[in-house]
Amino acid sequence: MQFAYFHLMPWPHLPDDFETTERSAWVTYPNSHYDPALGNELYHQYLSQLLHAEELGFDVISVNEHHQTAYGLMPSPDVMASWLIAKTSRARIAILGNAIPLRDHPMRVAEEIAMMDVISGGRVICGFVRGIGPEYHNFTMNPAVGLERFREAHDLIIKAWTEPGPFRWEGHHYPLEHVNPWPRPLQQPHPPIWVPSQGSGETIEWAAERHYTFVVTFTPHRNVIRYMEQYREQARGFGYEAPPEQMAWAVPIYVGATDESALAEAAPHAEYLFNKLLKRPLSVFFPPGYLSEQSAKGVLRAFGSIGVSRTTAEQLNEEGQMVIGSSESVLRRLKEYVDLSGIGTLVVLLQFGSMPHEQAVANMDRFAREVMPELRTHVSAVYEAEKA
Amino acid sequence: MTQSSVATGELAVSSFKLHMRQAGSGPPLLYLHDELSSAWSPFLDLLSERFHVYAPDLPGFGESVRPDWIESIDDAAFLLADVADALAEDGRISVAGASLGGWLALEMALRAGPVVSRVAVAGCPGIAIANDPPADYFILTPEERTALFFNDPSKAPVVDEDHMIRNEQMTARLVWQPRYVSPKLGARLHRLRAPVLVAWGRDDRFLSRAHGEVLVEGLPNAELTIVSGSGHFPAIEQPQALADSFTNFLVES
Repeated sequence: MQFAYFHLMPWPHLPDDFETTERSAWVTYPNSHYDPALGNELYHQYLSQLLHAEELGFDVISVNEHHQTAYGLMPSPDVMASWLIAKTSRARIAILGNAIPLRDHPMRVAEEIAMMDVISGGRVICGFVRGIGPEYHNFTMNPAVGLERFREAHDLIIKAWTEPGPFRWEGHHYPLEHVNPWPRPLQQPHPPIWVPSQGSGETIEWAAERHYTFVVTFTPHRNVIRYMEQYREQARGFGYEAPPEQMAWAVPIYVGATDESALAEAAPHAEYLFNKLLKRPLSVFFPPGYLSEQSAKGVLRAFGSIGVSRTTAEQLNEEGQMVIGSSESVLRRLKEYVDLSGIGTLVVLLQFGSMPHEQAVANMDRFAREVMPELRTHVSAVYEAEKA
Repeated sequence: MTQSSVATGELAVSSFKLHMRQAGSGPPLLYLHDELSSAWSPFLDLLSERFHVYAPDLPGFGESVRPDWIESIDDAAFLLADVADALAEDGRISVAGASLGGWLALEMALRAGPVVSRVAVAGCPGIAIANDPPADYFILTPEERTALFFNDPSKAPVVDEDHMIRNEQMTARLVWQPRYVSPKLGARLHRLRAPVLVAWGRDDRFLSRAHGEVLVEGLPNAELTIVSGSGHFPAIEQPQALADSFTNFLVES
């Protein structure tokens, strides 16, 4: 198993009555509520947690991209990654971002990632995402062409990294006369690519075809199992067995002294994340055209028009959407999920919602000392069964 | 005229087909539907008392496919110019439309030339007015949208799930950015020589009446009429009043 320490850098100061007074933490929540002085303190706490993760032996430290929201304060993951590259020496840096359709030009992404890869001595892991629905509202980017732009931007960046320039790109969204980026990435043929997703069948197929690491985010464990089965199946269809590291699950985890105390300590912050930061009407999260007609119908049937309903930490823990408990319980459950899903990369969120710095660091320490070492050598029963 | 005499079929234009309903007899009238629904309606029953009404599902809406090359208002307008040519009698046809369909009627008429004899539109977006944009309904819940569009929420059309999703996706494709605006439309309006009637719901909360006024100022031969008791969609909320206005205007020769 390999371990990535992941951060969302949430704004932890939403008011107690946020759920009743505000529509959503996305798109329209006034930025007058952002306090730059508090923001300075917060960035330094969050960044120090990412540096601490390297000290604790995490293989990867990972940053995220979201825009114009209290949910996460990293609109430019490349800015965060370049700061981390300067302060670290061993850990790989996963950039999950970049939302390539939202960038003014994909060649800027090709250039920046290559710069960071060269500066870091080849420690960059490059994410590619489409950007989520609210961001298509903020950027007024047409959601109906987001996927087309994503695919073309991706194809262009990969070609720019792997084929000698200059060349001409006869694209639909980004027609170019001279593609010739300096520098080129250090890692050959290019930095590893990770694709975060909530499990759309199209994305699973697309990632499996390209041997990209598929990262399932915020998903109950039974769905994770299903998506990873699909991924392995797709990989076989493309003529190879997917190595475990290529299958990743991003999950919030809290390790406490006992199951009861862990739940009590994690609950306010878990519920802050799911009930405040993720509160939104469906129209905000899925603007028209963002999903295929078929997926849009599925979402409409699953949620109606009201969006996601309130939840509790207990419920999230039971569904395996989060893993909260004593170190024994967390280790046992993670082994079980690894056995069932076949994942070989765990992307853990150890600060979430409004969790204060000291509590987050204590959670990191407990996870790294009491859970990670034994889990690291654990091989999923999926592969043991296949070997036998 | 009742719905039982509405004929449903396909209209072949250039290299593809549009799903189309038609009814009535009289001079040809091409009707371009709004964002919400491409279904036949009481309003079209009223128009078909005096006209042979052709009501295609716009490309990407209802039952009509979207050819890959239809990506913008401009593309749809060129395609509709072919539709007007195909349906004209003695080289002439009138065109009417509501909201998005009204905008497309104007854009099409600008490109189609003299084949379009008269144009009648209601609640027509497309003109940019500084600091007076159309409301961003895409971000609203369905209930909030209904309250924005209609004086009487019970008038909101009931659209089946498949069509609702397709109509919304295709609308977004056409109008998302720049939002509900053709930046060049104002500079082109003077070329539309056909007489134009611009109708506006008195209580339109989606798009201010100023948009209609600017249209009428920019068109060489246009007039504005206000429909009381209606929000953004007078064809839905006041079908009789709007059909009377459209019919009176379109039959003038």
